[in-house]
Amino acid sequence: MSNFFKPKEFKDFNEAPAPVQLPDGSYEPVLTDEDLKICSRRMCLMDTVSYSYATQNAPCAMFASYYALRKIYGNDEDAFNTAILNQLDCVFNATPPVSGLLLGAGLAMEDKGHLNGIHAENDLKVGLMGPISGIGDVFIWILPMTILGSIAGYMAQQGSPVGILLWLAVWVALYFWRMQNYVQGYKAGASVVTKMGDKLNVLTDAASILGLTVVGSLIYSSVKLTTPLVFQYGEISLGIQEGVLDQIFPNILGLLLAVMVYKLIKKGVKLNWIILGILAVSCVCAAFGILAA
Amino acid sequence: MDVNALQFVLLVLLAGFRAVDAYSTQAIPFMHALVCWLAGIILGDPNTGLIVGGTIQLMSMGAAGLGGSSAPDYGMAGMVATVTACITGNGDISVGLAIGVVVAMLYVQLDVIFKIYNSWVFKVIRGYAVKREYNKMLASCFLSHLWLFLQGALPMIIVLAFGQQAVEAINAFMPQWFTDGLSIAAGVLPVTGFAILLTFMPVNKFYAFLIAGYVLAAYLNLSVLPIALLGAVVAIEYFRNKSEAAPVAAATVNGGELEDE
Repeated sequence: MSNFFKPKEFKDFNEAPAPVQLPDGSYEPVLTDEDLKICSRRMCLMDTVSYSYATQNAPCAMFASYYALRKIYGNDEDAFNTAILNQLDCVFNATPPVSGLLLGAGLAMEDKGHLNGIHAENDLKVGLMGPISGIGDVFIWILPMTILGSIAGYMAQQGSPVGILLWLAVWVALYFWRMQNYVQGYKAGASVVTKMGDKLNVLTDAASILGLTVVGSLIYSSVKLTTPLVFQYGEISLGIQEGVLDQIFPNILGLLLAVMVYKLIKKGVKLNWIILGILAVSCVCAAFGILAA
Repeated sequence: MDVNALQFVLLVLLAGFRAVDAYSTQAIPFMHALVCWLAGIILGDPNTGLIVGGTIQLMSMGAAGLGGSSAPDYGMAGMVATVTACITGNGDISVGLAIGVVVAMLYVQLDVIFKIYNSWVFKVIRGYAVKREYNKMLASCFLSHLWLFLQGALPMIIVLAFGQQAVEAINAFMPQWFTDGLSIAAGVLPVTGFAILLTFMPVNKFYAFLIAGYVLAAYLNLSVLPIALLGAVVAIEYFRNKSEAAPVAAATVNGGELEDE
């Protein structure tokens, strides 16, 4: 494990070799796949843990690339210090599992250009962290949350852990990929996001179809709302729930609630107020026997 | 039931790890059902853990705190709810759930404090970087992990110490309509998760599939897995048609509805 988070042959400044400058002013790239995998694994320790209102997750990016930068700058401690401070001062925040693609592409620039490359690297990071997070949020968070998360949640409510284990298995597979994602970012360079563009939109749409189908079914099966009210007219008594509402539409109260909450959130009502509102209305309706669990 | 020393330690460690993991390693992020299940296993009642976890999972969908926004801490809610439901042990999860949700809503305030604390951590890290003390610089990155561990573990200690008394007090003093109300709320609160999720999805474009999913569940009584597979069938065919037939048309679909809030 000694070379899992730290390179095996790590040399201090006074022992490290000097960077090799090429005739055109650029430098001989030194990073190997193994160095980049170490960056990815170090990023797994950090992800978004340093999020602050100062430079967001910049310390995480610095922590991940520390040993890669040490190798790039070799015995040139002054240049290394400038590079580390640059990492800390460049605002960064991207969806963790895909951030390595972008940071790897940035390291490719720094590996070649050294301090002449860091401005382009910063531009790349700041410019693409939004778009790559847009893709990452949809494919890493929202879709697994919708499809796998809701299957896991629904099956767990029924007392079965199968859905949870399925989700975990998919996540572990993704984790193996992300433990080397700097390599792909480094090799693909800056064009990595722009190239993916068009096909991803179709893929997003297709995945949305799957997600919406699942959410539609869960609005029926997971939002339970019934009324115990009984309509009395002389001799005739009619249960409102089974006699009226279920005849119109199964679980219509739950469906109406879902539509209402969706509209409120769209209008920008804060989630906490909605939750409090649901708690309050539930208590009032329970007191008057309008709704039942 | 009483919590023994081993269970106490394991639950506190699990709560601390979950809090750290949510921000850093992300080995089990947002897997509230899994965490609640584990908590249930530790307490010898996996079934309660699964049911509480499943409910919290459905509530939390969509509230992933994207783009650095602060969302209620449903993981905390799930652990508190599981532990209170298990230690009171009467099979009723609604009071535990309500306590958990209230804790999660208060707890989100800590998220803001954490980010302010991180601004101080950043100053420490940068200070060591300027002084070229690199080992200290790297080590101080873990100050953030330390805070998160405490943020997860300390409330769990409080819940384990006082949870049972709190629930008993609520049950003793609260009128029937209140506990009934909590049961109703526990049944419908997953709706918030679906609603937030829908705001991230292209509902206007593909609302027809919401109807399809609802009908499959409501009238055909299919469970969620076959419905997901049917959804996948349509999604695969859609992808095949669009990506082969009209790459130009696909480019105009800019995914504008999937805004990151």
